[in-house]
Parts: sequence; structure tokens; C-alpha cells
Amino acid sequence: MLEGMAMSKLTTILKCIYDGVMNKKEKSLNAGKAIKILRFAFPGMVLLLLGIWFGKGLNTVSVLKETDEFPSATVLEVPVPLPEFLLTDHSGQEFTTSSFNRKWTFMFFGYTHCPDICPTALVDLNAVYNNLAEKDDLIEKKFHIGTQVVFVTVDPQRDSVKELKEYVPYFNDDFIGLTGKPEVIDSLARPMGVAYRRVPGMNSEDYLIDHSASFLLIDPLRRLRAIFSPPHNPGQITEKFRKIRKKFTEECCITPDKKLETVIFDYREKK
Amino acid sequence: MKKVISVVYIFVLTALCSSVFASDAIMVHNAWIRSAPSNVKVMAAYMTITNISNETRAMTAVSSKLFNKVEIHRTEMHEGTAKMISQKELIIPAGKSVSLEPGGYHLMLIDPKTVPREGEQVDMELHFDDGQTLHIKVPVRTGADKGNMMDKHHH
Repeated sequence: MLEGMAMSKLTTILKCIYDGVMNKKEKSLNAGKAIKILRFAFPGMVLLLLGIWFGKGLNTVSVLKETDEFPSATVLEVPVPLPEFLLTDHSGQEFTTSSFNRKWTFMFFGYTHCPDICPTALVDLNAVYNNLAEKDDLIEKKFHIGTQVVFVTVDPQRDSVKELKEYVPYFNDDFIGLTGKPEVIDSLARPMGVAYRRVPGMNSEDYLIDHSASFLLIDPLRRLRAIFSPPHNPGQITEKFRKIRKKFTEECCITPDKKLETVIFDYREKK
Repeated sequence: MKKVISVVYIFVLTALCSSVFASDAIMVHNAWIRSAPSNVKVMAAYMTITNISNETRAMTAVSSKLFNKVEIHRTEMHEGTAKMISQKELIIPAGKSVSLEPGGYHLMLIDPKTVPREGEQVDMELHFDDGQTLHIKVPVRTGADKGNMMDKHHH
């Protein structure tokens, strides 16, 4: 469509120039010279204009590349520490703040009665996880820090441990589903800017929940490091995550001989 | 240039792979249901609906024997928060297509008798304001191809 328009514009411009030159030629006393100039100048101009037109085409491509450069990731300059909390994972085990130690964690808040966004998000997170696994990159090599994906329900009334056990591993066996007391889920969600609100349906069992659809990235020091807003592109998220992790590893005070636990300890002492 | 080629490639691929259903006014293609764990109470169906007639058409209802109820919904994003809005009908302007896709318009399939598995086909009926009903068969898929494709483009 756009190309068509550009093409017809181009034809019009060419026609104008040609007509213009022809007019001049008629008025010119030295017609022969003008024709000579025209013979060389006209194809030149065509080439030039084609070049501009083609160049514009190239420009469009580079704009696309810029969009690929991830507009929907926000890396926090000051990471937000997670609060202390206790929830239950889908195998019935305790899951606490310390479960984030020595791991990079992708966290998503959703619920199993969510038809569109939550399955889409979990499929996308699975793609990110598989991208990392394919390149043997789930575990960061230098400090041996793993990667985990955590799905926290915002609907503990309906999402029991049993429900989550059937739901979450369906998307990936390694993924962890969390449920617990509503106030605990609240206390975990709010400091990270995750909002959710129940929307009443026909009856008390039939309701929807508006909820934040972003992926949260928690660093190995248990701090919210980045937010990936929808729509999600697994390929871009994988690349961005690798960049964030590399920067963290480079900048972090840890050296291979200094254990991460010590660093977390240092970090707490400083606080 | 690579991108253009891959886009064309995807179009050709979709054209070859997906089945098309049509009445004299409406054409449906690329229909699929997102596969889901066996304990879910809701699922989502996606498709592209094209109005090939000269008049505006509205899809007023959708039914399927496999589900207790089917509703037309739209996911809207407000500052990263997803909100599902129930739609009374889906307007398809004359000569135009409306895409139902993840994160946008979708059919909310409520209360399945049994949760269909990946590879199965689900019969559905789309009802329109001119009294026509279009019967379609919708395959169940994971919908994971998007991520894989993106990844292939990157390398």
C-alpha cells in the first residue's frame, strides 16, 4: 500500500522534472546542448530518485530493528528488594523469600480461570526458558546461578495447591506455581507494582480478575530488577535477559572466589 | 529484506496450512483453540473473520456442544494491566477482516464438558445478525509457534 503510494509519487515527481526540463529545452536557444545535458542528467536523476526511494525502504527496515531493540523492558536503576513472605508451591512445599537465592527468577501473577492472557504468558515464558535451555544457558556459568519461572496466583480462593499442580507443570515441568493466604500474595505483589482487582460475574464463583500482565525479573539478590510489559516477544526477552544478567555479573562485587551468600550477607549489612 | 521474505513465507505457510470456512458473506480462517491443562474451566479460541459482502455484518453469538457457554471478549491493556471486556457482538465492516488473537479479541470458551487435547478438532457455530450460521472446525494447538518463529529470525 505504502510502497504503491511512494511509487506513484515517484512517477509524478519524475514526470514533473521531465516536463520541466523539456519546457526549458524548448525555450533554450541552445537546444542541442540542453538535449545533451538531458541525456546524461535524466537517467542520473532517475537513479538518484530511485536511490532515495530505495534508501527510504532501507530506513523502514532499520526502524523495525529499533523496535526490536526492546521498548517494553524497564530495567530498574534502583532494584526493589522483595519482602519476607511464605507461600506454598504446587507440590505443597514452602516457598519463601530465600527460595529466590542464587537464582534469576521470572515471576508472573495470574490465575487459572484466565482464558487469554495467562496461558499466552506461560507459553511465552516457556519459549524464553526453552531458548535458554537450547543454548545450555539456564545456568549462568561464572557464578553457577540458575533460572526459575514462578507463577503466583492472584486467585487463591479457587487456585488451590491441587489446581496449580495440574495447571502450572502443563506448560513446563520446571515451572513453579505458588498459592497461599490472600494477604501474603498482596504483600508480595504490591511493592512490585503488581495490581489486581476482582470483577464480579453472574455468581460468586464466576468472576474475572483484572491483573498486571507483566513479567517480573528478580535478581539473585532477591530484588526486582526488570519489568517486561506485554505484548511479550520471547526472543527479545531472552536476549534482554542475557544482557541484564551479563551486566549484573560484571558489575556485581562478587568474584569467583567470593560466594554469593557472602555478597547477600554484605548487602544486608549495608542496608 | 530478510524480514519481507519471511513475512511472505509466513503468509504462504498460513495459507497452505489453515483451513478456510466460508458462507456467501463471511470467511473464517486461521481458527485455533489454545490447548490447556485438563482441569481448566475456561479456554480461548482465536481466528480471522472476513466479511466478503458489501454490508456490515455482526457476529452476535457463538455456540459449541463441547462448552456450556461461549462469550465474545476483548482483552484490553491499561498500563500493563489486562482487563477482559465482554462484547455483545463483533462488528465486521464490509470487505474488512477482524482478527481474534492472543491479547485482543477472543472467544471465551466456558465450562468444557471435557477439555479437548492438542490435535483435536472442536465443532463451533458462529451466528450472525443476518440469521446465517457458519459451522467451523477448530483445531487445538499450543500456539507456541510465535516464539519459535521469532527466535529463528533472530539467528
